[in-house]
Amino acid sequence: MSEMKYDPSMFEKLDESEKNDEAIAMESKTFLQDTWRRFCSNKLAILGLVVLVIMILLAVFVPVFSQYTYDGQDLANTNALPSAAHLLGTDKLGRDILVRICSGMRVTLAIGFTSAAINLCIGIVYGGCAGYFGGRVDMTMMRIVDIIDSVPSLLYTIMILMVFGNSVFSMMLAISLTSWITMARQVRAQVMSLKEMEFAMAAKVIGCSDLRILLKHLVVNALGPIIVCLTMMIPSAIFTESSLSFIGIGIQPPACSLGSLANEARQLINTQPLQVVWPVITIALITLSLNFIGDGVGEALEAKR
Amino acid sequence: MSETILKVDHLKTYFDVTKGVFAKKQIVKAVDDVSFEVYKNETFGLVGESGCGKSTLGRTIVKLYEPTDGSIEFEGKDISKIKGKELKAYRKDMQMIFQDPYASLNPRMTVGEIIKEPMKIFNIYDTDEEREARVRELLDIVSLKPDHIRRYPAEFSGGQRQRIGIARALAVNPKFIVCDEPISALDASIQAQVINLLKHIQKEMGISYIFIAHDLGMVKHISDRIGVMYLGHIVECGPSDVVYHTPLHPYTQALLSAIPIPDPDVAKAKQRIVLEGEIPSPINTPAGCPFASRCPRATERCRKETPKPVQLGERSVACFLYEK
Repeated sequence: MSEMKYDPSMFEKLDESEKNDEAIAMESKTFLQDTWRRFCSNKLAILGLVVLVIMILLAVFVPVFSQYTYDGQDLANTNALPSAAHLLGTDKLGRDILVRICSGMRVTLAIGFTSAAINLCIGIVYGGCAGYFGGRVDMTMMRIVDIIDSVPSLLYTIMILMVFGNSVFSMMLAISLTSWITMARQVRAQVMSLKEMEFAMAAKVIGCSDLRILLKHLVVNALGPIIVCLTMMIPSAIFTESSLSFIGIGIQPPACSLGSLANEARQLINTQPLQVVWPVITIALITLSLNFIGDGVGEALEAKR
Repeated sequence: MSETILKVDHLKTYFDVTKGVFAKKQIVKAVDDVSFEVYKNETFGLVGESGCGKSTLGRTIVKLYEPTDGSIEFEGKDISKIKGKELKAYRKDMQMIFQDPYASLNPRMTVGEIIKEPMKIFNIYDTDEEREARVRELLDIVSLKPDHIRRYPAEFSGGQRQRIGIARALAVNPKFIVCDEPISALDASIQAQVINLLKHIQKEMGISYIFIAHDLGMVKHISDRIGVMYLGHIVECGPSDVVYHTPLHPYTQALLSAIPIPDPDVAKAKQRIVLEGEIPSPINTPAGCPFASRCPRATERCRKETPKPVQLGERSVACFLYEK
């Protein structure tokens, strides 16, 4: 073997810049900033968000600033076609359709968002406990869910509406009572797979309480799928409300929701087809934009590892 | 010899994997009757094939799993059945470094939050400023930059993440750290970096380690004593030089012969002991020596009786070959 030659230059001090080899070039961002940036890169999601915000603004402000009210009748001017005075026309009692749709949207959106929020809370607590504790606890909790789920949800809903009357409140209660099951199953599945990850064990080793591990380490990491599930839930709550009102056991006139508006207009579908189109388009737009937003948020929240 | 900090005595960790209500009971004996001691300030290496129960043993010691039977004495106190407050106090002294640096850090927390969390839980400092200062100090110890404190784990490399994991374990000033294959997910150049950091920390802070790995060469480098595990049992245990240079148990001999030698001439001359067969399933293991089914020197007796550990000087071997 030939003798190695050592050059003194090999033993010179390193440049000061070498000390920076641990530096990270990327700008430091907080979690929300990063999520927002990724959300913005999804064009459809942004479109959905814009449409939804416009819808909410319309629902909030049109009934306030319009000269008409949702129940003000004008029997001299029934079934009018869209005009400058009534942008979307009037219905069979001469009520302004635009104002009625916007106040219907209020009811529908309120029911949708509130019941989704209730579902989220119950679902996270119930599903989280079942998934985290596992074993017998999980077995018992999930069998209870199966039993609740085995009765058609429309039956519960109708029963609750019978008992508590047809108010917006009982509608929210009725919808939340059955649809939290989907959320609970989703959270349970996520928690079950995440709790086997080493960071969950690490949290246990550093002395975290069960509640802290569940909320700060597991649920937070399952936020992506949970948000997607949540945004799918709002449209389904809106659909349930609409279909209940459509079959006539939901919101009672003169109050209205998008579903009851579609139902009223259905009777005139042969002579005044336009009146059906408005509420249906509104429902479709809300649902579609919520789905896009859900996809976008879900993707943006997908955990980087 | 210095004083004992951890004494594991006839420890058993079994898992019930019976499926269905009426199925035949199936028990995985992940750790089966293991006894050893770890002295203050030393590193005890645990080696064995994957699936031999070394990680389960480590996790049982940090109380992630409940032991089925036997005792674990830490500083003279049996911790195998403690709960609540006592367990929390134990966690402060006993920490763990995990195998996969890509899975062991919560991706939703910044480095600062990750290292600060144990301090918050154990109320080590009164104010957040003090905690923050300590985090910076710890980052410096593991040679990361203080301004990494607001970064997320995803922005770091594997070696850097493992060092964050080490900083988290050090945050509560533990007396003992179980290192569960801390280097097996890292590439060779980074392995040395992490090993040297661990050695340095041990010298500075006087922490005892259990070092789990499947690479005997690396374990020998860092450990004072080695325990060789096979199918839930420790088959040979002793000072690392002795075990490494004159292995007695047939399994240790086979394991050592599998270490690659970076010199082809020497490697050619060396004979590799190739074991026949697969490692048996740890479900409902048959009686006798756990290694009997693959041992080149097994006798009729090995298949019937389980050998007890025989003490030979500083080491112990669980094999009938060395019975007096």
